[in-house]
Amino acid sequence: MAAPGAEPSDPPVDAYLSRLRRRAALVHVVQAGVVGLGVAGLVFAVGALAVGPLGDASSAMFAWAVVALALGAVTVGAWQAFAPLRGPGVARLLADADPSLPSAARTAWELTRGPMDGASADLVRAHEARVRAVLAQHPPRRIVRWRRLKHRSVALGLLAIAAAGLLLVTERGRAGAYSLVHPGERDEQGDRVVLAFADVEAHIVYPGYLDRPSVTVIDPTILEVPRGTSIEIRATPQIEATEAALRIGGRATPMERGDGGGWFGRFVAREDGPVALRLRRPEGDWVRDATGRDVRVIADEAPRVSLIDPPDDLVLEAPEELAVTWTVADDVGIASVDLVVRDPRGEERRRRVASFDPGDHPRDQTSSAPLDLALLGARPGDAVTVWVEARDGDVVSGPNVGRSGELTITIASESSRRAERLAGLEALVDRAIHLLADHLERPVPEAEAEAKERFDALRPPTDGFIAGLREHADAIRGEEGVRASDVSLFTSMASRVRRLLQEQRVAHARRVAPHAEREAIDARAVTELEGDVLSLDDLLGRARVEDAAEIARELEQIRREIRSLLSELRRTDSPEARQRLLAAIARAQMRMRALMQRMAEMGTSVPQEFMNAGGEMPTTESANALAELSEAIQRGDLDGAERLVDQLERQIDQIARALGQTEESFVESRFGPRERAMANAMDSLAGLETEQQQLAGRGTERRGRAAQRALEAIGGRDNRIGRQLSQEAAAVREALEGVDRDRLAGFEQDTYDRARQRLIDTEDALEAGDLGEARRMSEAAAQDLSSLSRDLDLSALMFPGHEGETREDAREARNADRSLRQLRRRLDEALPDVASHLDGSDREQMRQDLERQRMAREAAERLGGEFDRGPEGVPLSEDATRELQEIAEAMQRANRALEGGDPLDSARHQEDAARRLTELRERLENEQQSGGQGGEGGSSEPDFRRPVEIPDADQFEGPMEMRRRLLDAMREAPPEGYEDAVRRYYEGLLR
Amino acid sequence: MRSLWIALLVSFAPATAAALPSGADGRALRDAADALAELRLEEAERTITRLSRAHPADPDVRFERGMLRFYRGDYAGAAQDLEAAEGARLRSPEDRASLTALVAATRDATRDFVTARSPDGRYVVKHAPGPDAVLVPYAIEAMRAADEALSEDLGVRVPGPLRLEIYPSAASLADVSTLSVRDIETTGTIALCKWDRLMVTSPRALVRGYPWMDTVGHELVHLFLSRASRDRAPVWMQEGIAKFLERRWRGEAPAAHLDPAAAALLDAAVEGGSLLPFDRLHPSIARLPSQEQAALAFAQVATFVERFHGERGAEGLRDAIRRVAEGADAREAMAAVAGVSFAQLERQWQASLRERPEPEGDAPRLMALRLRQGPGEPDDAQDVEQEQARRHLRLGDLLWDRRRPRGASVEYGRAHALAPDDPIVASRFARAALTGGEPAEAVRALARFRERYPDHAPTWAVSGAAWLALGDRASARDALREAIRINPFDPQPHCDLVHATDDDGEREQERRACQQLGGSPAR
Repeated sequence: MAAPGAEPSDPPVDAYLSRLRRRAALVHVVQAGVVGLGVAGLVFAVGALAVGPLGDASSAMFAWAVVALALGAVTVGAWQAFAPLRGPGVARLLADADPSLPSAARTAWELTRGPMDGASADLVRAHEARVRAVLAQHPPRRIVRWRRLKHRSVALGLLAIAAAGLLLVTERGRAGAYSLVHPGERDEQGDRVVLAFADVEAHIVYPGYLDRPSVTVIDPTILEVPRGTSIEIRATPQIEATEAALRIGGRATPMERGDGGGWFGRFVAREDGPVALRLRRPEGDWVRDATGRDVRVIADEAPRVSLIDPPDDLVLEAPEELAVTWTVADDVGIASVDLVVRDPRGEERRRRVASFDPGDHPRDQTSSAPLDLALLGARPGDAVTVWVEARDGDVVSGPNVGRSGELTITIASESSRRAERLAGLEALVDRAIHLLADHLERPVPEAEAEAKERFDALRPPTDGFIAGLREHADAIRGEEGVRASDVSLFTSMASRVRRLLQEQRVAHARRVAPHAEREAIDARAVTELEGDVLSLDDLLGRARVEDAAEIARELEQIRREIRSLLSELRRTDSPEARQRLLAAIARAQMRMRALMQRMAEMGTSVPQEFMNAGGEMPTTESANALAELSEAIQRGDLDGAERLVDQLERQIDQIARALGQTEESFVESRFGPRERAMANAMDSLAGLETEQQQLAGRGTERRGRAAQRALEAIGGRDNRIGRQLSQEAAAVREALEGVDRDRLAGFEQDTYDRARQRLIDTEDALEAGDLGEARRMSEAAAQDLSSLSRDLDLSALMFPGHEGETREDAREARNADRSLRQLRRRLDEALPDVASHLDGSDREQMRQDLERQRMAREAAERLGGEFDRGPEGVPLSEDATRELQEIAEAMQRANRALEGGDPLDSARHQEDAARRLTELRERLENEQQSGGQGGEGGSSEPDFRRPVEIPDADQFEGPMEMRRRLLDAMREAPPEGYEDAVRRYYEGLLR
Repeated sequence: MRSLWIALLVSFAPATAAALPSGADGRALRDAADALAELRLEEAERTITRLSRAHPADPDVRFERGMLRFYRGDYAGAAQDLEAAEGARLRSPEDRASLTALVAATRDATRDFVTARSPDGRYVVKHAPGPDAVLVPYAIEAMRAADEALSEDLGVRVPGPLRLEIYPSAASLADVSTLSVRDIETTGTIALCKWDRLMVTSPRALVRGYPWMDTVGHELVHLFLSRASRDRAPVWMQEGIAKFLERRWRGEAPAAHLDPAAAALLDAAVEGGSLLPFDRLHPSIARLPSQEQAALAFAQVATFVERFHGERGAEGLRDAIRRVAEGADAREAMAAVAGVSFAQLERQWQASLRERPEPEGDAPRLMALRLRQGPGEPDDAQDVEQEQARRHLRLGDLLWDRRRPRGASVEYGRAHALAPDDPIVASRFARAALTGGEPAEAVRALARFRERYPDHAPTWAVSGAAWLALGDRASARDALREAIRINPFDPQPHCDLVHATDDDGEREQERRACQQLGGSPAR
């Protein structure tokens, strides 16, 4: 009971009754639903059973009408049962809790809606409060309980549902229900769609190579099977049928009747698609089973093949044998493995490197096989492509072929080496430019912390640049076609940058140098880097032009080959000749593409004015001519091909000339000062060599005179000394015999024979202890040997021989000549107390030579400085600088010996200095000649400004005659002291 | 039998027709040939058309018809007529041979040319297929404006159509003209007006382009003058008037328009007493020994005409031209109009040259026109005279190519400090400054060069871009248009002008040109 004046907390009566009504309605609905479902379901099931699988539309309509009627009747009955509970009528349900409560609740409900006239409001409120309080003790869930559903109607309903379910799970009931739900359904072929089959199962038999047991799948809807699997479908018909069939995708397969009245049919799964079961009724029409079934074919995967070794593309120095290793894996099993090579002509060659018996297919395998590139006929510059193919044991849809990635093996050629050097140089130029940019873009800060930060940021790229320079120098050192001065340039550049880095490091050590000092150091570094960038860019430009010029030369060679092959094709008209010609054209096309690419890449390294120095380069026209030539050969138009080869000859010649002029003008513009400085230095070196040779000659003669006097003093004989030196004389003779006499020209053979005989005489005289005779004979031998050595040097200059034979002979003769000089020196030195046999005039000569030798030493030091500085501070040759320092030291030793009046030491050191100067000059000359040549060793520098002609006998006579005349002239005695200068002059003429 | 012989003779008559019709027709043909030479083409056409009907097989008639066709731009028809006119007598065999070769060369050189016309058909531009197409709208614009101005200035109306041919290289221009490549390279004469048409070299044939729209205006003056003077004006008069009126298409008042380098050459020649005699210009300025001499010659004749025009006005100039057309010597004609002797006219002109104001500072150098050789991007850095500056410029270019504009800017700055008067260096420096986000610095760096080297396209292109970046669209517009008038093949000025212009039509035209040249109009 609520306190007077206070608002009661219980819900109002009308709200309570509403909740009660809703709960009662819910229970009623559930009850009616169960009953309705039971009745309708039972009616539907009976109908389905009655119509069966082939129910038509009218019977379906009738069945559905009956179901609707049943549902209607249940609905009406349920409504009638619920109607008394509408409005306050629901209060009657309270009677179960308290018989007086329905009336009280109803009164309270009515009074709250509209109090009677004259009724006391307080009494009404009091009544209501009392009723609310009572109702609060009877919540609706206790009044209307779910157990009310324990009603027989509900039980009947449930029974009906169960009965309907039982009826519908029968094959007929199910089929009937389908026909009632899909009345008159037909597929795209016009066949009725019904549940025509029951007890469908699929018996799966896998392909034999899979070696898997067969399985049976009951009531299959999706069959995922390997391709080639055999599937047998078994099914029991629901309707009478005269025949049955399977339709897989678009194909139909008849089914056979089994013993138990069922049907079965087989097919092999080859592709994805639906599987339809069909049967034909006695009436003659076809019906299709309504259950959807699909076959999904799993394709057998190809073997997975990988090349393990070599792991990446590689470049071989020569066409040699290498091992190719692979690994293969396959789910079915590997049947065979092939190693496939595409040779330079584009032909594929296949070699079986593994095969396995059908019952012994491994699932994976790792193995290797040798590959001999020489057998493939690969030549330098060629590239072969290699891969491995594996076949599996799939005999149904296979064999499936797996293929590894391709591996390209290139046989290094001068061209590929040039490309590699170019790439290295490009990378260096980039590094240098970015390093310069790093310096320029970060001004030197004042604050120490920022300064250190800047230095830390600049150090790694600087180190990288230094390392790059050294690596590049190492990579190109000693390579054919590389100028030694270039190597020297890279190493000196690396040294300078390293020194600068060291300066920077010191300036940014624990005690950071003042701002001005750091700025000065950075400015020096920037200046050096600027010079380096330009030098490297010039080298890159030159390398590009030379590379392009070399490709043009290769093209010229291929063009000649094409002409020769074309003649052969005309003569033989054989497929082999045609194929060789086409292969040569393909090679020319490849080189032409390379040339065009190189020219496009020249960019700003070679400005346009240099590119145009030689006029137009008809590269596009040549490429077109090559394509037309290939077509002409293929269609057999040899006259047209001949014309195109003529055209190509002119075009390639024009390209070669233009590139030659580009090279010339570019090198002159960018390397002119350096080349001129080098030429000046070489001139100075030659002059110094002449002077030193004169001094050495005077020293040698002086020593000889003193030795002669010493020899006379001991009576001209000394067996001990003679025996000691006779072996050395024999060694000199053997060295001379290293020269192949048969290869020498007539006059050279005479000289050779004389020198050899004199050496034998020297040997005999020494053996006999006749030192006087030995000295005379050795002097005579020396004259002949020097002459032979010079002649062979000149011959080697002009005709080094196919494989450098003449050059080799010249080298042997030179060595023998040097050994003989040493022998003569030892002969003099071996005599006792030679120094005391100097006469007055010799002593006077030594005093005179002292000043000359001092000046020569100073000249050597100056020349060393010239080689070290070079134009713009880039050394011309660091090797030359070092060598000249050592030569100057030898001269200094000679000076001291001259001062001390020692004819032996002075002559030895003077000869040593002279010899080293000669060697240095020769080495530098060789370096200059080899640089930029790029081709095979020993070939003369190509001159692209001149058409290549093969001289006939008449044309050749002129140069030969000139050579003969020059050699004759050389034999005339030059003025004393100028012998070597005159010899070099003639050599220059001959070159 | 006799009648048979007569019949045979009659039947062979066309094949063995004697050259040059006899009597009045022969005289008419001679007059027509003279009319052709004097560019009285319409008159010549009437006669030759009539004679062609009357004497279709006459070699001389055929030859002159071929020449008429040549003047009218039908090169294939002209070549056919000339080659078939075996046995013509009206012209000397040498003339016929050279004309036949010239016409055949013109036919061959223009065989693949594309023809573009203005909507009214009055202006016809022929050019090689490809990038030269971008020139067409600008060329028509210049021709139309010049046509209107010159018709008024010279008092002559050319019937039209006015034909302009743009040749892709100096060599191809030499093929179709009497100039040699050497003449072109030596004097920078890269355009001419002859045979009733304008022939200009495409600006893409030159490393830095050239003021090609002014050149179109210049050559059009020649065309008008040739018509007005019956092609009787001597070279000095032709060139003087052409130079004096060449920028009329821009709407500017007639003037000598000497650029500072040419003005400096003129001053030096006056100072040193080395002015060229007018007769030296014969037969063509293209035959002078250098570009400096050619520039001096233009400066002389232009200032002479400028002074004459200043004294006697446009009517005086027209009167002089009229007298020349009537057969008077140009010197006598001008003297007669001036009322003094020509020698006096010359003295007065020379005196006026000495009164010219002294130029401030050093004279700028003459930037020679440099022909592009072969494909590939030319490098004008070689034109920088100061060696160290050239070295820094090269370093700057190497850095720029590697996308290090700040570093490049430092090197360009060093080059600029070493060669402060070099427009090539200055424009590179300004370009780097602009890329580095300093457009004001770029404008400042180029201020001097816009005055001193007005024909240097990169100066205008970078100035325009810098002004655009600063928001000064009016200055940007003018500069970018100037750049296009010199080197229309640089896409950037077109792309920038898309954003600088207020004119929708121009915007669309520039957008097209920008895209056509591989640029991107997006900012």
